[in-house]
Amino acid sequence: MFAACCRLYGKPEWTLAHTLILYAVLLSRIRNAVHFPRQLRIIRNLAEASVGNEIRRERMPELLADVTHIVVDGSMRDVTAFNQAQVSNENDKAALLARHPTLQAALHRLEDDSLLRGCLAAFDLDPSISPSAFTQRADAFHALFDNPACWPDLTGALLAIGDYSRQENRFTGYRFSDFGASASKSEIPWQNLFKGKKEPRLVAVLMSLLDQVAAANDNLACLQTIQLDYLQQCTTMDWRYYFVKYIAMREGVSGRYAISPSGYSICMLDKSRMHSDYRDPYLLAALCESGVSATVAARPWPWFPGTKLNPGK
Amino acid sequence: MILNSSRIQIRCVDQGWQITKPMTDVVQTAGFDSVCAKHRIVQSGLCAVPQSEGIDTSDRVALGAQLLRDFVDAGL
Repeated sequence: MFAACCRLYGKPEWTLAHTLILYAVLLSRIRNAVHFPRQLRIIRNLAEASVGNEIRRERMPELLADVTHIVVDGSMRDVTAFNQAQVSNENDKAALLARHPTLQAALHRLEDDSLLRGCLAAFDLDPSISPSAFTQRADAFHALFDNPACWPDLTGALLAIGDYSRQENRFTGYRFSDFGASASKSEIPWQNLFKGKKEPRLVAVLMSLLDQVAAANDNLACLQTIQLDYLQQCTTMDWRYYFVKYIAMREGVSGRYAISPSGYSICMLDKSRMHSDYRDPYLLAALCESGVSATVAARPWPWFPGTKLNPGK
Repeated sequence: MILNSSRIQIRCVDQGWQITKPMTDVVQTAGFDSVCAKHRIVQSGLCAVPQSEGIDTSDRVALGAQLLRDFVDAGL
């Protein structure tokens, strides 16, 4: 770390988060911190969750004080400058490990996953959970998310269980819903879904899916079964029905959709903002189902300009 | 979506599929009227999806796919 600092300090590759972690290492050496590996892990997680928002040059004094609290005092009670949702998540993890120390390896492996990046807000960390249930969910998570080939079925199965999206209401009446990536291999949409504050709907849907995958001995064929069972029991067809039934509707590269209150007017975004071109998932699915060549449609099909929320025009 | 041959515009709206017909060609109009009659497209251009309290009771994607096939088969 020190060698990297000597080599990269002042260059873009060396970030303020690196400085915070190096400071933690130096403090641990100076103060001979006993529990430093765990504390370093916590600081890494907090820094990861705070990059781009809480970690700014003018806030470095408060952030360095937070690092001191964690390394020297061994406490997160006075940590105020790092991302508070992640602080809450770290407290939940600590409570779980205090009750079930044997879960440390499984929990650390989840923290190290490139989609989760230290944040387990999407997991049920209630200490009353049985250790075997937590371990099975962790194994199921890795079986699913380490395998991008199954992501199209994964998003369908998640939606069949419930609307798990992170949502942001827009002044237009539409809402942004983030579902994670389906067709693309990009990890960023999943990282955006899993980070941040705890969303009870996301936790409930994800835990339900992980339990069903674990019950199927991590056989991913169950993803298809979950979708088919849902479609068979539907008597009406809301937007979620269509998203589960038609895989083309889940092709958005960014995993972000702008959805009208009715759910029948939707922009499928390849980028995260409305000021970019988008596709209409209903029209796209209808064309795919028709078997008609896409050349019947005039350009810029399948893209529509994203300067206003008027999908399908 | 705008069809190349006829410039017919198809949009997904809350009630179903909204069709807009800009062309004046007589032959194409006959084909268009035939498709409209088959799908019970009303004067406003709405191809309504059966609904109950604003929620579809028939598959609008399947309906839209059939509508698209019929337009293309009619040379539109």
